[in-house]
Order: sequence, then structure tokens, then C-alpha cells
Amino acid sequence: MDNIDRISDLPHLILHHIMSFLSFKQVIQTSLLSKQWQRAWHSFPILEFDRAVFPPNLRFYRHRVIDIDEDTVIEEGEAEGKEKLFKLLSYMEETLHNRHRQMISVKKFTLQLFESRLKVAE
Amino acid sequence: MAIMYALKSSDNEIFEVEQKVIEQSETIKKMIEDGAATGEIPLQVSSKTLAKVLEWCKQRQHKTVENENDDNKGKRKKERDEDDDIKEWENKFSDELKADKDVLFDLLLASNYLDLPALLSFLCQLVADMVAGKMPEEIRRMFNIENDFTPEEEKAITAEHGWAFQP
Repeated sequence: MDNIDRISDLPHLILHHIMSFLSFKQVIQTSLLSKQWQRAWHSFPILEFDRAVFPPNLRFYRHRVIDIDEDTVIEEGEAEGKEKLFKLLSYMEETLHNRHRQMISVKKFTLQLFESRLKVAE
Repeated sequence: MAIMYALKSSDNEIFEVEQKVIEQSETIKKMIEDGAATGEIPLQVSSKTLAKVLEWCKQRQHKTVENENDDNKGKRKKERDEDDDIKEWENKFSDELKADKDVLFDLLLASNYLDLPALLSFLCQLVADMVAGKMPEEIRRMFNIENDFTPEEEKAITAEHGWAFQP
């Protein structure tokens, strides 16, 4: 076996095809492999923000935040949950903006927050 | 008599193939329909890769023909047996490719160039299965991917995507 990187030389279309068989979380992880893979992720048209991205345990936070009034003390765990949720939401927003800027038509977009499920296909 | 075509690999080897087998390739099918395929059909694919491509196409062709000839009687059991045979064949084919990744990537590019969607999908799934559940460092090692990020860039990406690495 020689030491040539063959996989990164594949056209983006083929890389995207490979990525389409991976979980969305792992697709995002591939962007850390190299610059070529980062570029492939930036043009990947399937965005699935599902339960794996928004874990159901964040739901606990959501119910508490609705009840929050001035007297309610946010416990440490909940504050972390809030931070995590906002981080994820802004990440999703940035990802969508990014595709929009590049004028990439998104083939599939999934948003699953807690028990709800919104699916938009183009 | 089956119509035969002669395919010429990039290293000038000739492969005699039945039209039905090779027409699975949309690229070659178009060449035949356009009348561009008289005599030898030159392809930008090495003989080693082309042999693998044809191995795949013949297996697929075999499968289609048998299904067409089936009558309903005893079909179920036969189909089951055939499915097992195909699975076994595919597993062997996959194992060979996993052992020689050069062939795997040559085949990926060839399936794209020859427009063989079933083979392309099969190979992409195979690579995805090899990658699934592995951390970036393992994947880099498996495919000799060079990490060309500076430590600063890597830090920024980890900060951005960090959540994706949490269980």
C-alpha cells in the first residue's frame, strides 16, 4: 500500500454521495479531516438537524424556561442546557446562511426539536 | 447470437463484452446509440479496473436475466437462495476492495465516468461503512489523509463543531 491520499481527490459529488450514507453528526465530523473535506461539507446539500443533534434531554430545559419568572433560580445544569441549545440553534442558522450565500440548493432539510418534526424537501 | 462489443482499456487491452452487459453503463450506451461505437470502444480506464467493472456488470446482468426467466412457481425459495448468493458475492467483492483501496478508488472514479449508478452507490456505501463510527484521526490513518490545518485553524473548527463530537 502506498501512502497517497486517494479519497480526498474524489470529486465533491462522490464525496457527497459517501457522506449521504453517514449520520449527520458524523458528516460534520468529516469537516475536521482536512481542508478538502471541509470544502465538501460546506457544499453538502443535506442538512438533518434531528434528535441526534438536538438530544431529547434538552427538552427538560425547554419546559423549565417557559415557567421561568423572576423568582426562579436557574440551576447550573439548566444554564448549561440553555447555552447548548442556543449554540446549536445558531450553528444551524449559520449553516443555512452559508448554503444560501453560496446559492446551493438544499436537497433535504430536517429539523426535529423535541417531539416535533418539520421536514422540508426541495 | 449476442451482439459483442470490444472495449479497449487505457493500457490497450481488449475486452470482448456482450452488449447487454455493457449497456448498463449509460456512457457506453449513449456511445452505441450515437453510432460512435464502431470497432473498438476506447475507455479512460485501466485494464485492471475495467476487469473489476465488468465483473460487477456480469453479476448484475446474470441477476436480471434470471429474474426475467422466472415463473411464479417456486419463485420465492429461488429468490431467497439467489439473494443469499448475491449477498455472498457482494461480500467477497467488498472484502477484496477493502484490502486494496487503490482498486476501490479507481473503481469509484470509473463507475462515475462510465455512469454506473448502482455500482457507484454500492461503493459509496462501502466507503461510508468503513468510515462510520470512527474518529477523524482513525479515518485519516485509514485513507492517508493529511491534516493540512494549522493548529489555530483546527482549534477554531473544533470550537465551531465541538458539539458534534459529544456523545
